[in-house]
Amino acid sequence: MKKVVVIFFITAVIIGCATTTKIVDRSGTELWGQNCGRCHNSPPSSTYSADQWEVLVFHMKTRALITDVEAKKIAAFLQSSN
Amino acid sequence: MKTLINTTILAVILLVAFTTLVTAQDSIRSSPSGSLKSVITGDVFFGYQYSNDSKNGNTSTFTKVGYNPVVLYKLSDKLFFEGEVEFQLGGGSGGFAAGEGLEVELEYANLNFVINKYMLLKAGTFFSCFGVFEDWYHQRITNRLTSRPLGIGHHGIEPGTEMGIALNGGIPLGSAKLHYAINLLNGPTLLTEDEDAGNLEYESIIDNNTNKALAARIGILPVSWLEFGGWIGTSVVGGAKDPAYKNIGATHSGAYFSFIKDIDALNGTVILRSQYSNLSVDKANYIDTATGTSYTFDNKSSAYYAQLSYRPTMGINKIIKRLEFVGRYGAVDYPGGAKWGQDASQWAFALDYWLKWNAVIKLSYEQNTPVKGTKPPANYFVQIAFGL
Repeated sequence: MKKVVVIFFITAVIIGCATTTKIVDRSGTELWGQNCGRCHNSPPSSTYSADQWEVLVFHMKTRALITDVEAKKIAAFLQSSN
Repeated sequence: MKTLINTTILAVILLVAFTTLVTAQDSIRSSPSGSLKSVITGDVFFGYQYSNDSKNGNTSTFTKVGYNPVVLYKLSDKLFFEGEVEFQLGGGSGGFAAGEGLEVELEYANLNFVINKYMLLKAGTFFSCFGVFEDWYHQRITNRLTSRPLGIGHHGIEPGTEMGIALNGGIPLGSAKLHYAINLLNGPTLLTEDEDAGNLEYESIIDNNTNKALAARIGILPVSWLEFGGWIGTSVVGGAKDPAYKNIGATHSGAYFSFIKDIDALNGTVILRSQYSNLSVDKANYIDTATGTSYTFDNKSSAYYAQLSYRPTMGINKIIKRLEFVGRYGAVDYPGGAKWGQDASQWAFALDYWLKWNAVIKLSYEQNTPVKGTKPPANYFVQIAFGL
């Protein structure tokens, strides 16, 4: 079991290193697509107003533990396209 | 008759309150420009259950109406409040709490203070860091089935929401990221009498000792579509005033895995979720009240599940694209020698139809198989759920 965990962890690190774009360099669109479907279906940007997106994305920081840079970029993307 | 009348009156009041709130959404939802911003969200659901039990009588009932408003307040860039109240009417099965009449529960209410980009302080009642199912997947529009996995979540071997304080955060690590949660909680309470001796009770409002449960969880996403993590937590669970149990401790631990990816070759999205939870409570002596004799047992429990779903999101047909096919296998193992808990495994399947991103109709089938005893009949469920 321990071997499986170690192999899995090393594989995951290698996969992570192989991906080129750093999180801080990704666009709001990319981050929205990559994060918002982790638990629920991704809501279209037209679902909520700009103020509501500000509150809801903050809620995702506290619940889904998305990073600060992700929250800012996702909120900006949703507010600009709703 | 009196209970039926009271229940009916409560149901009518709830329906009127719900209708009033929904029609007033536009004026409540977003505040005018200013630093205080709020949103009311949450979910509503309604279900039907059928089972064919020739021995004990068939079940065919509309059941489990629920309205769970979530209120979110952003006081400033650093202060945030979130709270959820659950109003549920009707009995239930398949992993949710059974009950009669109206159940009202404060699911969580917590204050959040942003310390810095990587750290947030949370205080109040909140989803604990034991496991991820209860925190992320139990809501009706995130749970693709109509029940919790056996033994997982707050009717199983681990806490759901707990009272205390927490430090949480997400940290980017190049193209990967890590998130963490550290909890300091009242912790569970050891039950010592009768049929529940050795079992733990969660959601303690008053701590039964001066010890606090300490727990931590880490999650790693090496790529956006892959996530895995684990948690561990320890606490003293015996009451401080009970000499026989005041030093009894418990350790919760576990691991989880999640894979979510659009796969072109399959013309759709595949989601794989799994969790393994473990609980170990120190050995103690309990008194069998029927015989007056002392007994003990190895107090270890575990539960796990794996769930696979597929949605043909890239298909051409508009109706087929909205379908989601779900299968789940899980099992729970309770301590031999305990007078509570029944070891069992479960297969569950669902066909979901997504009317919108936040509105779903689920048709599900569940079959529990106990390790000992007679296999119960399968249950069939229909659930309609809206995320608000």
